[in-house]
Amino acid sequence: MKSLDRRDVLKRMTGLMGGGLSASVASGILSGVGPAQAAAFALQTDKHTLKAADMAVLAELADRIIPDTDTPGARAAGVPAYIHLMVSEWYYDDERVRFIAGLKSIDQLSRDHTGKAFLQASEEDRHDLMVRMDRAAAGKSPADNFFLEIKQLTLIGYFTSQIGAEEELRYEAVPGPYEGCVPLSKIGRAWAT
Amino acid sequence: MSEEFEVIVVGSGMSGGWAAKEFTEKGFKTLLLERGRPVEHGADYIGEGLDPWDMKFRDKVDRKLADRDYPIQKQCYAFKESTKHFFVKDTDYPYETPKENPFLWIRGDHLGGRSLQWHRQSYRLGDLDFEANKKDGHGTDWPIRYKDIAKWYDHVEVFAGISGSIEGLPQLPDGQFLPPIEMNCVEKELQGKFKETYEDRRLIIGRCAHLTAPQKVHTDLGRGTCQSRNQCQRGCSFGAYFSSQSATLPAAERTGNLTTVTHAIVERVLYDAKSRKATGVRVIDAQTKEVRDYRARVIFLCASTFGTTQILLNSTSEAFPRGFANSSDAVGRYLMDHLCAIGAVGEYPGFEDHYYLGRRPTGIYIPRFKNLRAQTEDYVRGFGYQGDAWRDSWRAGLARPGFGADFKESFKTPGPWKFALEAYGEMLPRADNRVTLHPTKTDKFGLPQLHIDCSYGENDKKMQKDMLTTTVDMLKELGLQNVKGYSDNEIPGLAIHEMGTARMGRDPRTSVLNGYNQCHDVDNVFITDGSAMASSACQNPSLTYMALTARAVDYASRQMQANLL
Repeated sequence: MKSLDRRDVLKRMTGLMGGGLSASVASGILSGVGPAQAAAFALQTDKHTLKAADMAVLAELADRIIPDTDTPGARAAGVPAYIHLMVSEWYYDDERVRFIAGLKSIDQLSRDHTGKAFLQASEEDRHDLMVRMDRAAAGKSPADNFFLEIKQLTLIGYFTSQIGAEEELRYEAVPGPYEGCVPLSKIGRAWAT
Repeated sequence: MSEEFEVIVVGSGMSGGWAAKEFTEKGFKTLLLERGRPVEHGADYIGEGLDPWDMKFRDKVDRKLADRDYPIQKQCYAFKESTKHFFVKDTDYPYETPKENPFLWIRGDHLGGRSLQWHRQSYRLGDLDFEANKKDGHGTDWPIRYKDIAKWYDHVEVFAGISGSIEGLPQLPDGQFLPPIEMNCVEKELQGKFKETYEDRRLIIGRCAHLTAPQKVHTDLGRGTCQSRNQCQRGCSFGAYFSSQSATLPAAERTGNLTTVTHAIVERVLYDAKSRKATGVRVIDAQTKEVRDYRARVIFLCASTFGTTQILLNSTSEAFPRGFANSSDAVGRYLMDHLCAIGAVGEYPGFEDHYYLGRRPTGIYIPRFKNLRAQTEDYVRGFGYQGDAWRDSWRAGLARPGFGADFKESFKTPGPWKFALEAYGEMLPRADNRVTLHPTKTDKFGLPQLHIDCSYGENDKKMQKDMLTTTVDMLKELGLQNVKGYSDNEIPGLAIHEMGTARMGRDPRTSVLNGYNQCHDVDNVFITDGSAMASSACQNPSLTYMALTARAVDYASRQMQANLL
């Protein structure tokens, strides 16, 4: 049985594709996102933490960190929305303030070097700026380096997305019996989970 | 209002599930009381089958929620978005500790208890363990030896389905195993190196409660083969790992002799001083706060170590002013957890062309090798290891320099092989490691909160030191590179192996239970959860709770049939 079939069977078994929940769950004793909503879950938040201009810079950075190659990149995988969610809901106020300041600093850095805002700068200038930021991030922690912070958010958002896990890497929801010692060529790529 | 049964079992987790199964299969009308909510096998595993992208924070629990409501539970490795409904909200389940001696109590409040979230490692205790108290004088002598429990280990292993390998090690008796789960390439190589390098150390596959080749006894209950998802704590609709829901409860239900009542918090055991017997239990309905009494000939307390202790201490009477069946004053004392969160990790060169398929739900195990044949260390007892080898994934590259197409591409190749070991050490029983009822603070049901006062003793601290040194030295000797040790557990509780607070012993003056888990003071009350343990050994204890429970039921049922109970 292919993994996708197995997963479908399982999701049917566990009510993810409709079907019954027991009374205790249905009566709402449990808080949080139920499976029915979770299956159709789109990463959204009702908060509008970042303005469109900020989101554009964020998406550009994320998509240059993980660009489209033979597989879709960060933008296609919904990474900007994931980062927005994290900044909106996961972050505490001081972290959010720091993040937004970091995002704003990108335009300032770009202007200092090229006289243009990041998104108006040339391809080459954008790339050069990111190279400089990446070098400066060496040995730092995400808490004190904005570029490293956005890079890590991008990697996590990407590799836990369906595109990142299933298309770029290998993902099996239901692997079946464990095989401990197989040629790497049989798997092909690193496991996402 | 009062209802009559032959047997009352309090708690539906690892031990309670077994007690219910064994009694009902022997034909006794059994009432199973669970303080938490019902959880239906399959239907209520609401986190099962979710992919990371199905979950808002990709299976992390909303951090602000966790910080606010789950400050203790969030420290458990298994606490995730897909599992958090099987953990209590700390804000609703308060307990007290002294400032200088914190204790982390990881708990759920639901049918099946922690059998749903356990780590499934299943090891027998041997005579090295059962004789230890008598030999070195710590703790009270176990009233049983390996020969008394061996056939009960057989009994529970066959039904639960334990996967493992036959090794012939005296310190870790073999059992009735389903086929072992495979080791990966690096583990296999290290297994060979262990044999070459050390006379007394063996690396074996972890023995775990997973069905690798289901037998009729399993398939009859609808249980199937492990699918290597390693998301067990979400619950498993395949019934591939042992839990109350997958195994003991359905077995009990099909007899027609089981009555299960959830939301039933046992406030106290009822006692008749004239007959010197327990008559039943008083229960508070968690939803309505209504109080009911249930009566029975025999009572099995399987409410978990702290749960049972709370019931005993709260069941005071003229006959038992210090707590039920507590003439010894041992109830609440001798609390143990395992020494843990000490280990090391290193890189293993080579095997770049090898990988594995699946997320294995067990690791490797290294049975105890310290103080095995003679006392050689500056502490008594010893420790074992859990660990595994793996290849680094993208998560190990979060600080990798670079960005762009080549950077993205670099994650396609799995990283180097790593091997990690974590030591699990035996903690000695000490009278001062004690659980009491808080004199004034109560929980939302008006029951006294527990006050847990537990710290590491001299022997524990010496062992912890050696656990770190030995692990680091061993990994270096085995050819691992960049070996890094860690030791970061100052707080007991996180091994989630709390035990010992109603210990077994030969002497009624110093112990609560006899060799059949029967209260010395009250012969129709048995305690078969972790509180019965006279010492902790260093093995994961659940299998022993199962075996002791089955054995105690066998004994009690024969006494009942002979009208002695």
